[in-house]
Amino acid sequence: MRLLKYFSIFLMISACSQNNSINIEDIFDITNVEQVLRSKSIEFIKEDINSVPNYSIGLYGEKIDSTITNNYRIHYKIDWKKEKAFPNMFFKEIPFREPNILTNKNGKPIIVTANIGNGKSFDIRDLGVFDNNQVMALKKTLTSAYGKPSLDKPEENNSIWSANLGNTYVWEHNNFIFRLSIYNECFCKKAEIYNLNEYKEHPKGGRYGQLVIYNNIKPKLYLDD
Amino acid sequence: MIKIVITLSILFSSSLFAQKTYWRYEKTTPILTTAIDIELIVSEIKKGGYALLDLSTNNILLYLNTELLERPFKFDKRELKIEIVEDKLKVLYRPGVEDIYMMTFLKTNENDFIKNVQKE
Repeated sequence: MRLLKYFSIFLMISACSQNNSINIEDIFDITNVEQVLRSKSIEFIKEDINSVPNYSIGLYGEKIDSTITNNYRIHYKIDWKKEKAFPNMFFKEIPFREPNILTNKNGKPIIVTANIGNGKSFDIRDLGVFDNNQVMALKKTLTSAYGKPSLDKPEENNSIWSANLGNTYVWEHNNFIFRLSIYNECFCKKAEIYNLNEYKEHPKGGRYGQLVIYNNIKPKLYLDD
Repeated sequence: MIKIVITLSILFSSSLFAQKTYWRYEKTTPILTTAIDIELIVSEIKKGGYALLDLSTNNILLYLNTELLERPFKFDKRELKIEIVEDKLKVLYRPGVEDIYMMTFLKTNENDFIKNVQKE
C-alpha cells in the first residue's frame, strides 16, 4: 500500500513536469497568456506589436489586426546542468521552433505562429529534436483532424496565401484557420543555411514549414486594399 | 579583452559565497546556432578570460579574451543570464530564440584573477 502511495506521488510529480510545456490545442482557452507562461516557468520576450516586423513572425504581407497589441516570443527551456535546450510548445507531439503568441491587450491569444522541422541541411537535427519529417506529420495530423485542406496551393502559384514559403495548405475549423506552408516538400532543394566549414558542396536541404493559427480572426493582406 | 558588467537578477544565498568570487573562463558550448555572424564571434572567445562575481554590488564582471567584439557588435546585457551549477559559473548567451550558447567559468583565486586581469 505504501509503495502504491509513493508511486502515485511519483506519477503526480512526473505529470507536473510534463505540464511545463504548452500544447497548442489548449492555448486558445487561455485568457491571460503571460500568467500561464509564468506559472509554467516558460521564459519569453514580450514585445509591443508595433516593434515587430510582420515578416519576422511568419506573417509576411499581412496586416496585423488592431486588437492585437503584444507579441510573446517563447524561449526554449534550458537545462543548465546538461547544457541543453528543449522545446516547450507542441501540436500533439510535434515540437515548435521560434513560437510567437500574438495577444490582445488582455493577454488573450489571437494568432500563434511557429516554424516546424529542419530548415538547415538535410542531416541536421537541431537540439536532437527537430527533423525533416515533422512538418509532414503535422500536415497529416491537421488533415485527419479537420479534413482535406480548404486551400491547397503549390509553390509556383505565387498567390498572396503563399507569399512566405512553399506549398501552402489551409484548414478551417469552427473559428480557427490553420495555415501551413511547407518548404522543400519534394526534398529536391539545396539547403538555405549551412556551414561552409562543414560542407564542400552545397548540401541537400531539410524540410520545414511555417504554421499560423488564427483564432476567431481572418487574415488581412495589404494587397487586398 | 573586453569587459561586460551584468547586474544580477537572481540573488544567491549569501552563506554559500564570499562577497567576491573569482572565476576563470573554460569553454563555450554552442547549444543552438543559426546566425553565422554570432557563431563566428562566439568561436573567437579564447581561454584566458575571467569573471568577477560581486555580491556587495550585485554585479558580475565578465572579462572575455577576444579581439572580435568591436563595434558595431556588442553583447547586449539582456541577452545574458547567469547561474551557478555544481561549482561552475554558467553564463547563458541567447541573442535570439534560435541562437543559444553557454559559457562555463571555473572557480579560481583572487591572485590568479588580479595577476591576469589587472595587467591589461
